[in-house]
Amino acid sequence: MSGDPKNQAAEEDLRLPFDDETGHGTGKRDLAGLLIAVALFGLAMVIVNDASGYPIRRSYAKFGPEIVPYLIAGGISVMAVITAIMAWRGAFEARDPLNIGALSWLVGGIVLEIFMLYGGTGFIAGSAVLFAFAARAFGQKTLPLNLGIGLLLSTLLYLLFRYGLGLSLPAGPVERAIDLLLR
Amino acid sequence: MDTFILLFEGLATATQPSNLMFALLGVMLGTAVGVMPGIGPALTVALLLPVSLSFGATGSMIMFAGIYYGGMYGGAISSILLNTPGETASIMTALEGNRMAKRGKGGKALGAAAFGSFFGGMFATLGLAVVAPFMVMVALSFGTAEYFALMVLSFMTVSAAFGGSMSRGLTALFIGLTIGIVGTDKLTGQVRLAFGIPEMSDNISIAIVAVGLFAIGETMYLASQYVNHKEKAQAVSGSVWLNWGDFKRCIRPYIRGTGLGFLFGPLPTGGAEIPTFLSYTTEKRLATGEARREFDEGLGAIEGVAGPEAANNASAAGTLIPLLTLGLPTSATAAMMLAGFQQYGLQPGPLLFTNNADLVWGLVASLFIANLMLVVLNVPFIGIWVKLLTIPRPWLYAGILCFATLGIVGAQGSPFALILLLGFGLIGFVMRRFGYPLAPALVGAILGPLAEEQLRRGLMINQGDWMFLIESRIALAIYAIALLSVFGPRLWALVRKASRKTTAAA
Amino acid sequence: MKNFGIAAFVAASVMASAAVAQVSELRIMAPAGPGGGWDQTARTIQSTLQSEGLVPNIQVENVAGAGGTIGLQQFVNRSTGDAAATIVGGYVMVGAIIANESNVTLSDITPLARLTGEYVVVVANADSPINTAEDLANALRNDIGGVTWAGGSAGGVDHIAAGKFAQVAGVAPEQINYIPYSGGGEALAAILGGQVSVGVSGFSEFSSQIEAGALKVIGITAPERQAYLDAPTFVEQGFDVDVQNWRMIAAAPGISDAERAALLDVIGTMAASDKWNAELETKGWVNTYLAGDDFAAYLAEQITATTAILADLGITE
Repeated sequence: MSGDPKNQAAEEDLRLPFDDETGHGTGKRDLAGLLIAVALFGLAMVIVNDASGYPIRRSYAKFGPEIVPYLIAGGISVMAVITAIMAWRGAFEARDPLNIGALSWLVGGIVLEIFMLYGGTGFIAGSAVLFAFAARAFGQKTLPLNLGIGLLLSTLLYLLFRYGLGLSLPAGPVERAIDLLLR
Repeated sequence: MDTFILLFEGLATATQPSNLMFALLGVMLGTAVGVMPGIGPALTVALLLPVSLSFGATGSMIMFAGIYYGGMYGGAISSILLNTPGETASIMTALEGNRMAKRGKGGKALGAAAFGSFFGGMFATLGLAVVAPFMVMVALSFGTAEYFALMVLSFMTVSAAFGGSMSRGLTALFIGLTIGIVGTDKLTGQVRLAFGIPEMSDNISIAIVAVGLFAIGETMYLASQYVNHKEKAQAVSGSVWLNWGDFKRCIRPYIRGTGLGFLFGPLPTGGAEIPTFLSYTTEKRLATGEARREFDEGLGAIEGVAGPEAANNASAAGTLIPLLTLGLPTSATAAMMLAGFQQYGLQPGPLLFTNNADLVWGLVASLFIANLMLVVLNVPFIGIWVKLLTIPRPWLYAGILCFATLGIVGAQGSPFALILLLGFGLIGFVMRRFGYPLAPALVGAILGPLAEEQLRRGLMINQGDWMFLIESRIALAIYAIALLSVFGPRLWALVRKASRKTTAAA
Repeated sequence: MKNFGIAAFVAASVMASAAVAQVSELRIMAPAGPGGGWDQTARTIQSTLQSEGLVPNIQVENVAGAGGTIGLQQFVNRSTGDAAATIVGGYVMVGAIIANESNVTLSDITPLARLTGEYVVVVANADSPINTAEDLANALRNDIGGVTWAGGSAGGVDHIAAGKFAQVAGVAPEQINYIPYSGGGEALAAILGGQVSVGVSGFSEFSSQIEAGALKVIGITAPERQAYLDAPTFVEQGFDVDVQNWRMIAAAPGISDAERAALLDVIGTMAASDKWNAELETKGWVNTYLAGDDFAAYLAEQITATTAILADLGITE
């Protein structure tokens, strides 16, 4: 590196984009970061695998639907390598400890709502359960209270959107009872 | 001067009490649905079409205009306060706006957004009245080469949304591009990355991606960080209202944002996304002093809210130009408004201005009214909106989740959308945890398919000859701007340094 | 994507019609998002049946996705034997089922009636050297790749119409340079801007520009001249291209003959009502009512023909 300040500034400006600029890294090898690199590489493989199966179609463009996916897969592979280097060098910032319990309540709530909607329990009940679980995740432990508020909110939302806008929401017994009452 | 006489007559129509009522109703409804992630103005207009028949042509058109503008502003509210863009048009608003809200400046951000919406809407509507025919010619002269150049410009400026780390920004962009190719390829019908799941053979709705990455991902992130202490969100620090200093900082972004929005609105490239991207980038590039520091240190700069918010409302007005003069809808909401016209047997197009002049000018005038209504109605409520953040956190976030799932399920009509939502939520969570920026992923998901489509369409029209890309002067000019926007600041810095040296030596 | 019209929301003026068999409840599935053509058809049926007093209680449900095949799948899975369940659909679904290799097809439901339809028009910029179907055919024979067609999605109705024309004109359908656009508006801009040779889409997409003289009609895919359009059909120009983008209503599989007859009765009364026809007119839709066994035969013939043309276009194997 030369001592000329102008050159130095220019070098700084035209620095390669792949170094990590934040400079707050831990400096320790990062297993989770390596996992991300592996996941990215896996994604690239999935894209290539998918694109290689497209039938050849003649087109005046001479540019089929598989080319852009290949380009994207290439880009992702490069990013996977860079991510791996970053993780190896410990360039990711330190992370706070993970509250697995809270996260499980939250994800569990969404999963349960999906099952309830597929199972025909209806929007109001599913939404109330999601509300209760999510509130639990954030440390509000009185389940009946949470459920109560959730029911109130989702019933209100249902009435508003079903009857105010005519939006069709997944219906279950509760919804059918309301529709029957309001008919 | 005919234009202005007609406009005044229009104003007389629009200020009739009943029409003012419709404007009020529209703005209120629009704001309400704009706040809901996933449900936007287009869907609202679609659902209200049947009801509106009893309002008469002018009344319902005025209401729809109100919904459109209101929706743009409503999207900003959830972006700023909850980091959950209600609409794609307000993705950029979330970046700086939410940072401001986290520092107790949510009220100021909302104020900047409200006045920005007003400013953008007002001047773009004025522009609509004056230069509509000219803008139509510009829009029609754009072909695939020019559109592709615009996409390139947008991609080259996206790095402004990268945050601290280039490599992570690029990774996010590539993830977005991947999301963009899922579904049926428009040009051949080839289904890509659907893995045999019928629901995935449609392109993934950007609403699901945005709500998943931002709202669900953010909520998961906060929950994962949650430790059992009574933390009080800082709802307000200092005055809620904009002071003169804030306002002065907003003026230039307003002007630039309005210009961008108005220019891009009439182009069939999907509406407000590109002008808001470009406006944000411009503001970030041009920031100096206090604003520079706020952008760089992630404190939330008011310019980053003001510009995009002016841009998205200005583009809403710009969208009406091709709609009214050509019958050409350039955004989903415009398409629904076209439907509204058709229900009254009106066919937007070259003849509308001559055959139904009173209606057209009534509509233009009602845009002014709706705009005014938006500010009058929303500014006093800013204090109340900000109070949203004082709801106890468990219930606030539980509520956000309920809103988000309602919006997605209601718009898609299938629980499968929720599975995707959960998936994107988990991706968003991992990205947040490892310091990946979210906005580039959305930019990639929106622009990627557009760019691919324009390029391949151009190649089809020109039978595989790539030269068409550089045969257009407009396209070349756009490429020049793109290069300048990337290398310009560096060159400028070098030139300045060099000249300083020569003056010092002399 | 076409004909965003509107369902009237009129205070129910109940007119008892004693002749019609009793159907007290109906659910209509629109296998598309709110706002599109199928959704509007469903909601128009809903409002007409209610205001005519034919069925007191009707609900519309939207299930969007994959050209209607997701809604169809759900309909067949959930509603077998349920006489109150109906589904709206159309020609687009025929193509989508073939292209997506859907495991549920239209033969799994009970077709009731074709309700409305729209014909496809081929247009050119007013400055274009192409004026007639013969001109277009000659241009195709000279340089098939040089004639660019702007229209809707690949394998959709517009593409099929273009392919049929190519076939009749004696050139290979899969060699036409067909450029799909995502909406009528985008295609319209490309035609008006002179970037493509011709445009092909439903009449309503182009009607205002045709009226204003910015676009000229090369031909319409109707069997005979239409009152709303002063332009020749392809058939009368010697090119046998007859394509209709129709919409239908169908009932659930496994219902009894009596139940089917009752539904047909209600739908028939609706299609003949003034209210229905007035609604269709404001939307610019054409009443192409065809019911019962005639429709079932028409549907079967459409499926066969579409399978063939999609293969000719190179969309399917």
